[in-house]
Amino acid sequence: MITERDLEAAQTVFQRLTSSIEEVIVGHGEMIRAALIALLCQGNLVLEGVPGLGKTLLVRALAAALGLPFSRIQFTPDLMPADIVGTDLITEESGRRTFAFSRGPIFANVVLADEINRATPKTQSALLEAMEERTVTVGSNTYELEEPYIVLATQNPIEMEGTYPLPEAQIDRFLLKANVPFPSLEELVAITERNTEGTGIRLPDPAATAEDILSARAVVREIPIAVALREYVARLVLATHPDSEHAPARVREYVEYGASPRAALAIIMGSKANAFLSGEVNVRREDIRQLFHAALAHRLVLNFKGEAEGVPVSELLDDVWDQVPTNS
Amino acid sequence: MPFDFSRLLQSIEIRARRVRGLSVASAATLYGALTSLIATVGTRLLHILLPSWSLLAFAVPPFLVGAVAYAWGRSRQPAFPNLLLHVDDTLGLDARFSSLYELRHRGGQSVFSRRIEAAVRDASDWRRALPVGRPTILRASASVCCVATVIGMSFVPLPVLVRSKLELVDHTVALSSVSVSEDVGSLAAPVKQSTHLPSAPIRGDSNDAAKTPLTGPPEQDHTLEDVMRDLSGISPNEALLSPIPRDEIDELARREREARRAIAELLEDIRERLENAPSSGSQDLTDQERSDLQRELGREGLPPGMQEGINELLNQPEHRTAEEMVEQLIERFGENEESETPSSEDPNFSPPQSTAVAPSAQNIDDLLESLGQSSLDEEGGIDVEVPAPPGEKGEPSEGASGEPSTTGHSGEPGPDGSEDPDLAGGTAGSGGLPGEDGERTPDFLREEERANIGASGTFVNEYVTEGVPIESMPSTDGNAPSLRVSYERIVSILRERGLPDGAIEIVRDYFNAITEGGT
Repeated sequence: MITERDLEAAQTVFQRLTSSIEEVIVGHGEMIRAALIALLCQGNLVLEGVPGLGKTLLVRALAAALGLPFSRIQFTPDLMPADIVGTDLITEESGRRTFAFSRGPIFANVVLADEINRATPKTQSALLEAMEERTVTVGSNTYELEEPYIVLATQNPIEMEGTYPLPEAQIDRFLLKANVPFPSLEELVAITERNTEGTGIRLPDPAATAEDILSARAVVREIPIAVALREYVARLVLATHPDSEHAPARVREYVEYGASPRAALAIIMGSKANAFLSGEVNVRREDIRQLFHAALAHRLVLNFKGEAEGVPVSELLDDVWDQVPTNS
Repeated sequence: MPFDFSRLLQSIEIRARRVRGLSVASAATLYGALTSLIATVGTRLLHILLPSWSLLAFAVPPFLVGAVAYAWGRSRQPAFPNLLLHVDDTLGLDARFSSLYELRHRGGQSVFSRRIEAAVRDASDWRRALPVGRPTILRASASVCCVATVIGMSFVPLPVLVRSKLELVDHTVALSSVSVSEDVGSLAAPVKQSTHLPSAPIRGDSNDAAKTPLTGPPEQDHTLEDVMRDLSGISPNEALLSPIPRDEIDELARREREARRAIAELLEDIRERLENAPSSGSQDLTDQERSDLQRELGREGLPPGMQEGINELLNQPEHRTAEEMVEQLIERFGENEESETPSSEDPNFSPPQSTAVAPSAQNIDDLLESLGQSSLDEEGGIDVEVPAPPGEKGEPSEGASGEPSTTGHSGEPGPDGSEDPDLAGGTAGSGGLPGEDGERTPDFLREEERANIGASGTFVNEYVTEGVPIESMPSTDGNAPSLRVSYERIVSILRERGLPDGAIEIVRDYFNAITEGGT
C-alpha cells in the first residue's frame, strides 16, 4: 500500500535526481526524462543522435547521480558476446585448476552500450536476456542482475557503413527510443561555457539510492490509468498495423509491421512514469501523447516502398495520433 | 463536506441516460414525423380516400415512437469509462474522473484517490459536459415542424374531387355513429310528402352537407361538376386547377338563360319589324337594332354560336338580307332550344308537369366514363334529379296520388318575394322543376318517363339523380313499366371508385329508403 509519505518521498527523490543531471547536461530535458522514465519502468533506452551531443555524458551523469555501478561497452564489429557477458576462466588455486566465471561489463546497474549498432547481431543479442529477463546465462549457469538495472544504448544515425541495424527482437526490448536533438544556440553557448572554464565537467554526486529507485518504481506502478485510456492506447497501437481497420491510409501504404503489444506496455508504463515525474497522480492523455513517439518510433518497420521513399516514421505516427479518437 | 463520488456518479448516470434518451427520442421522432409527413402528402397527392380526422391521427405516431425511443434510450446503461473520460475531456480534468472511477473499482482508499478527489471536488459544473446536444434540438425542432405540417395539411382545402370524396367519407362516418334507421327515416320523410319527387333531393345544396346527409357517390358529384363545366364552357383542366363553386355555376347558367331570352326577344322584334316594314322600306337593321344587338353581344353567358351568328348579322353581307339572316338565327336558336324542350310525342305527356330532360347519348357516355362504369349501357337511362330548393324553384306539388296533375303548385316566390319565371314550377305542380319554359338547367337533365311508384302502380314523372343507374321493369298487368334503381350497378360503381363498404351500405339504405322498393 502506497502511503502519502512514499509518494512524496519518491517524487522528491526524482526531482532531486533530475536537478542533479540537469546540472551537468545542458538542455536535452526530454532525453533526461526519457532516461528516468526507462529507469522507473524497469526498461531500457536507446538514444539516437549524431556524435558529440552528450549521449554518453548523459548516461554517465545518470549513473553518477544514482550512485550505482556503471559500465560502458564500446560496441565494435569485432566485439564478442563473451566480452559483454563474461566468460569462464581457468584459475589455479592450491595446485588445482578450476573454471571460474569472470563477469563481463553487463554486470552493472547502469550499462552504456555505446554505438550498439556497430557490433554484429551475434554480439548484440548477448544483451537480449539481460535487457528483458535481467539474467545472464553463461554455459549452464544463470546469473541474476542486480536491480535497478538499465541498459542505455546509443546509435549514430550517420556513418551507417559497417553497422548492423538492431534486429527487431532487439530493438523491441528498448522501452523508449529518444532522438537527441542538436542543442539550441543558448544551450550550445552554455555547453561551451561549462566545458571550457573552471574544472570542466564534473559529474554529479549521488542523489538517490537503489532503494529509492525501487520504491519509486512501486509507486509508479500504482498510479491509476483510466480504462478508457487503456483502450485508447490499445487502439493507437493497433492503428500502427497496416492490416488494422483503424490504420490510417499512409500506415497501410508504408508500414510492413506495426508495433508489438510490448509497445502498449511501454506507452502505459511510460505514461505512468511521466505522470509521476510531472507530479501527477493519474495518467493523463497528455502523458500518453508525450510517450507516443518515443515508445513507437523504433517499433514500426517500414516496407520497401516506405524505405525507398524515405517516409519519416514520425509522420506516420502523427497520422495515427490524429486519426484515432480518444473515446470510442 | 466530504466528496461523495458515488453520488456524483449517480447524478452523471441519470443525466447521461436522460440526454441519451432525448437524443434517441429526437431521432426516432424525426423519422416518425418524416414518415407521417410523407404519408400525409402521399394521401393528398394520390387522392387516397381518407377522412380528415385520420390525417390528424398521422401526427400522433411520431410522438408515440419518440416516447418509446426515449424510454429505450434511458433504459440503457451508459458506458461509464467512456462517459467519464468525455466529462474529463470536456471539463479539462485530465482524466481525473476516469482515474477515480478506476481506483474505486480497485477498491479501498489510496493516496491517489484522495489526491484526485481533492482535485475534482470543485468540479460542480459537470453538467456542462452532458448538454442536450444541438443535433438533438435540431432534430426535435424538425420533428415539430413536420408534425405541424401534417396537422396543417389536414386543414388545407382540397381540390373539388378529393374534397367531395372526403366529405362523403366524413358523412359516412357521421352517419355510422348514429342509428342508420333514423337517418333513413329522416330521409324518407320528405320523400313520402313528395308526389313528384320520389327520389328526394340527393343533391341539393352541396354546401349544406347537414341538409343532405348523403351527397352521393363522389363520382356522381364529379359528373355534376362536369355537366356544369360543359354548360359554362370551362374545361375540366381549368376546373381542376380552380374548382368552381356551385353558386358560381348556377350564376353562369342563369346568365346564359337570360342572355338567350333577351337575344331571342330582340330577334323576334327585329323580325316583326322587318316583316311589317313596307317592301320598299329598308331591309337593313336600324341603328337602334344594331345598338341593341351590340349590347346583347356584350352580355355574359351568350353561347359562342349565337355570338358568331349575331356578329354575322351585324356585318351583314351584301348578298343576304337582314330578314333572311334573322330568320336563320331564330331558327338556329329554336333548334338549340328544341333539343332541350321535352318531347310531346307521348300521349300521356302533360307539358305542365312532365318536365324531364333526356340526357344525350354523349352525355350519358361521359357520365358513365367519369363514374368508371363505361360498360353501363344506355338502357339504364341515367337521369338527373331536379333539386327543388324552397323559394327558388317552388315546392313539389301535393299530388301524392301520383296522377299527372295539372294543377300543381305554381312556383313559389323566393325568399325575396320575387318569382323567377325560368325556375318557377309554373302550373305543372312540379314545384320549380327546371325547363318548364323549354330550357335546361345546368344541373340536371330531364327525361320524361312513365313509371309506377311502389306497389300502388301510381304513375309519376321521374326525376332521377344524374348518374344513378335505373332499370325499367316491364309491367305484367299492362300498366306502365316501373322504374327501379339498379342497386347492383351502384355497388359496382362505388366499389370501383374505392368507396368503403360502410359507405356503400349507407348508399344502399338511402336508395332503399327513397324508393321504398319501387322507383
